[in-house]
Amino acid sequence: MSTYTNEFLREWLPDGGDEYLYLNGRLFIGVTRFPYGDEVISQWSSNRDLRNTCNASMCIPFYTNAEVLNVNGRWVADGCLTQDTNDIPGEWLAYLSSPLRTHIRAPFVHTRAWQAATLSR
Amino acid sequence: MLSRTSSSTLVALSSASCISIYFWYKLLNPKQSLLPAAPAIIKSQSSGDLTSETPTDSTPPNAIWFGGGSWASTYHTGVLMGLRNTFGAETVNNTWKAGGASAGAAVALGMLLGKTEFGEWPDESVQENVLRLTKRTITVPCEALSNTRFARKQSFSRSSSHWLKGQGGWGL
Repeated sequence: MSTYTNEFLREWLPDGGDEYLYLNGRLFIGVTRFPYGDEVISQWSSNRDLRNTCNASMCIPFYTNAEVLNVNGRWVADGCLTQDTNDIPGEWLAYLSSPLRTHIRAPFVHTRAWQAATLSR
Repeated sequence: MLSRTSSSTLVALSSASCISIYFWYKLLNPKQSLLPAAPAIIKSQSSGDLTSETPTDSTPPNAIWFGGGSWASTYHTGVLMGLRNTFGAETVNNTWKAGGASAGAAVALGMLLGKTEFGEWPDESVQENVLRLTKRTITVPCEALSNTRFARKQSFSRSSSHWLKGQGGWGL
């Protein structure tokens, strides 16, 4: 899967580009930190860094052939695994696809990353 | 023969586990549907009511979160098209904040970059590429299901309706 996602990510976020500057603080990507715990990332240092985060957010362990699982020195995986809808701020529109995640609070430890990410807006 | 028997046993046990989990879930949550026809539309409220399908205030939003799920991304493209039609593409692309997890992260990224691939129903060539991708993703875990008919059923016959339903999200 990462082969396919890399195709459009490289096109949208080419190496050496400055798109990440425009997206810093406006784009929020949820990832799962191993072994558990969700985290929202909204700051990047390069387009490559942003591509890595996107790939990591779409990486299902043992299923996708992700090139990168390591973001900022930590192992990460698909953001849906520990996504907690209760952490999404009230003023955000939230379109969610998983009824389980919607109505059952995930039995994981949450980092309350949303508060940290959104309070700095 | 032994490995085949073991595989069959494993599949049977997995199926039994999934079925038991499903019934336990239905028992504990009798009012919720495990497999809705479309992703749930939720306007999260500060009061904690996350199940309301209609907004309780008329304040225009300026931030959106796209949940994960590869099939849901087709629904998200419809949502994005509805947002652009309602609030204007310039406003949505340049002033809104967006977030997402998994496939939703790609939609959020495309939204902020102003990509028009999201919000326009793809032409036949794009459909063919997505179909090829769909077949491949299905092939990886279970080769027995990797046929064109099944892939098409799981992709366009379903996602097109999702895309259309997405345009009718949050008061759009």
